[in-house]
Amino acid sequence: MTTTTTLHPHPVPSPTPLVRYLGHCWWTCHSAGRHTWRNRCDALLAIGQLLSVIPRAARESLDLVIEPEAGWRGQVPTWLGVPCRIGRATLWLPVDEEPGRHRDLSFLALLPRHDLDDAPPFIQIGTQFLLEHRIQTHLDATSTVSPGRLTIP
Amino acid sequence: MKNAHEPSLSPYLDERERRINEDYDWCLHDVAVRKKHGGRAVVAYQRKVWGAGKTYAAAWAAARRKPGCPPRHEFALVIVPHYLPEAETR
Repeated sequence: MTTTTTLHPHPVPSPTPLVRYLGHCWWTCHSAGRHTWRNRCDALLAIGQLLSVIPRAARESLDLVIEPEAGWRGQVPTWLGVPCRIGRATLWLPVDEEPGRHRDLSFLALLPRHDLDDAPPFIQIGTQFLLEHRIQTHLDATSTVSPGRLTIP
Repeated sequence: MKNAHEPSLSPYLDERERRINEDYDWCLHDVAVRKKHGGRAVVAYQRKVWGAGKTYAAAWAAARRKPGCPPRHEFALVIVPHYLPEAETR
């Protein structure tokens, strides 16, 4: 079933108007023993980026469940020069059509060895994620009511 | 393809998650929080900011220093958006 997830504007102070678009995201995290639980960490739509990125600070603060990406062939790209591992987390996105419901999606991401001082602290959603899940992206900078959405088949 | 999917998690938030969600949204939208902490990381519990800092780790460390600090899994960890009045009305 196709679902829609709203993207929310996150203004940035600047001499000229700037905005980021974030999704309200939940992530599968480690808990005690074999159990897992979820925590929320909104993620930035970063369509200028090929692969998604989970900064180290976000990984550690959430204690994300990350599985190795066994099918990856070749060298893992760096992120802005920082060496990375690559792995998969589980992302839960709210379903606009059914308030309260979330759907889970596998999230392939670069895992930088360290963070950069001037980089945004957010988990970043790259185009690989959109392609893998065949997600349509709609942005409307003229609207504050419905500024953006992801349509997920 | 490996998937970190945990089938036991419900598609619906449980009580703890709903509480975190409320605190998270409060940090995103409360004008006073945004004016004071915009651009920083905060940890919040029951509409109270327990710690703030440049990073999640700094915010959590600040919260832990306070007596009665709730356990970590009860907190919302949020990057607070700046309060920009002109952006709110655009």
